[in-house]
Amino acid sequence: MRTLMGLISGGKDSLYAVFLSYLHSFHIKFLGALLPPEDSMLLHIPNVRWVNYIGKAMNMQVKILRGEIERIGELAKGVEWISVGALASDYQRLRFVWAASKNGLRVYSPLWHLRPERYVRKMVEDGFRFIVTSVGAEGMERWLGKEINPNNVETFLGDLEEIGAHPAGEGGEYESFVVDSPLYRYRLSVKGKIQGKDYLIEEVKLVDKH
Amino acid sequence: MISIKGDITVWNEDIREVKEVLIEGDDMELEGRFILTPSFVNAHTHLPMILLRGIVEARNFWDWLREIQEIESLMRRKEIRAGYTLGIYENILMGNTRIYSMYKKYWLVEDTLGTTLHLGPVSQEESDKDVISLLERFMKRKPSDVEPTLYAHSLYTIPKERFLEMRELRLPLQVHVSETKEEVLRVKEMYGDYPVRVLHRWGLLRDNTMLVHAGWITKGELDLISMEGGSLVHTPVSNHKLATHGFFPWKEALERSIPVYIGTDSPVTNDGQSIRDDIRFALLSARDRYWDAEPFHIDIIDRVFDDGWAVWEPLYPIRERGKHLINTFIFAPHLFRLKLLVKNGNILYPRKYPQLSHAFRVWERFRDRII
Repeated sequence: MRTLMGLISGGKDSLYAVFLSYLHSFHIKFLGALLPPEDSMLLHIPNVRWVNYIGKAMNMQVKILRGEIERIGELAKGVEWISVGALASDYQRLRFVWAASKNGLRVYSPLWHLRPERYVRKMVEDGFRFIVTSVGAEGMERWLGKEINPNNVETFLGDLEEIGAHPAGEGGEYESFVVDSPLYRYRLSVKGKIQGKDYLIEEVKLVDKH
Repeated sequence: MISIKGDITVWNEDIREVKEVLIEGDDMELEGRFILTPSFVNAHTHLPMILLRGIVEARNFWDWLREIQEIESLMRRKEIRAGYTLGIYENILMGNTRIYSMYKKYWLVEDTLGTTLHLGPVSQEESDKDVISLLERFMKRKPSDVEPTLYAHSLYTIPKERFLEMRELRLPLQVHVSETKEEVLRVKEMYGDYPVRVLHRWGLLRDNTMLVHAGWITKGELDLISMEGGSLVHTPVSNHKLATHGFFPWKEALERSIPVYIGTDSPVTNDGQSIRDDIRFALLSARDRYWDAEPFHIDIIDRVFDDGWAVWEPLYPIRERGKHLINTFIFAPHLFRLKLLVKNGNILYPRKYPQLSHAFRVWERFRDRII
């Protein structure tokens, strides 16, 4: 049996990787999140502390550790694989693979080199809903705190295209927090405030989906 | 009696070297260096679609399906008949003697060319009705080597009642399951659960239920199959080309002793109907997915053999013996050609099939008409 820890940040890529792992017959034992040091180049920072709610929404344990990816062995004790949401960044993927292999772990990276625009569209089609929690690209500020769903995904992608940004935000053009997915038993209702280029989550509630 | 003499490596339950083999059949003698294997089962295909090969390529699944169905709807009866003949013949050339073919106009098959064909009513759309009377009618006029088998396109295209009707017939049933992620989510939306769980709820997880594709399947669903019954059909090349991005839970299925068959899928979603090529592809693809070659050793392939015999001649002066030779046979199928295929004492290859030249002419005219 392939046992797996879904390494999540709360963002769309890591959670979509968990979703695909689930449909690829992995035994997902728990989710894991690294609370990064403030200067992390690898993991996105602003709302990682809310990942506990994602665990609750998925009815799954979340283990949390402060540190960089090199400490993955401590976090992923008891599993053979970790899933990661690396899409296009060699720096990100190789650091995951290197750190994992040093700890005897294998990396499942199902999003690797997917066509980004198609991927974002597909994810929304599959029932993923995410809010934009920070923007690193000029011209995207109006999306801060907004939920991306079937009604606005084309406009969102259009705006990114207009400014020449990566459609999946791989270059840090935006960060996200997933509020609903096919694996969520509860939807997350989020309140927060815009502060500069970030949308800081202040409150998360579980909402019955049915 | 067919007598085969020389250096012969036999691969069926195990692998052994022999100097002579006798096979029941018409008088014939072969001498040389051969591999002798049981003939193969092609556990999933759509035979007449061979006429459509190469017409729609390089598409994503739903676009491919829409375009191919448009062209397929133009196929006339005589063309479908020719498609059956050519499709079966291609299977023979690949050493396959048992074929599961899911095709809406199953009754147009005229001759099995000596193979065993699994055919029967195909429920594809909501409007398809009354499997029982269709089956009764087919049983009266089907060729004798046809074994009745039911086919259901998928859980999201056919209503529950049709599945319950098929359940009562207790015949082998093939159903496309979890071929696309969209299908899984649609079934979950329709019935509130994952496809295999829904089939279980309807009493359809049993030993003669074959779940085809299973590329987006959860661990819990595999546990259920393992407890209740059912087998999986892996169609590796077709999966890679179209819908599952190549994933198949081979290791998980084997750990749970779930039988795994190999099918080529249609001659158009695959590019051929060679089970040997598909096995090779499946093994390579599994290595990629699992980062582990060991669990996919040749010994695990236990559902690919039928009850006929195939004699394979190497195209190069081989020195390998035993398992090493069979490894080469599996990983380099192009280095071995079919020398003889026998089923039920009848030689299926080499043999002249008078109906072939007519079928090829029909195919040519069809292509002229369509393209």
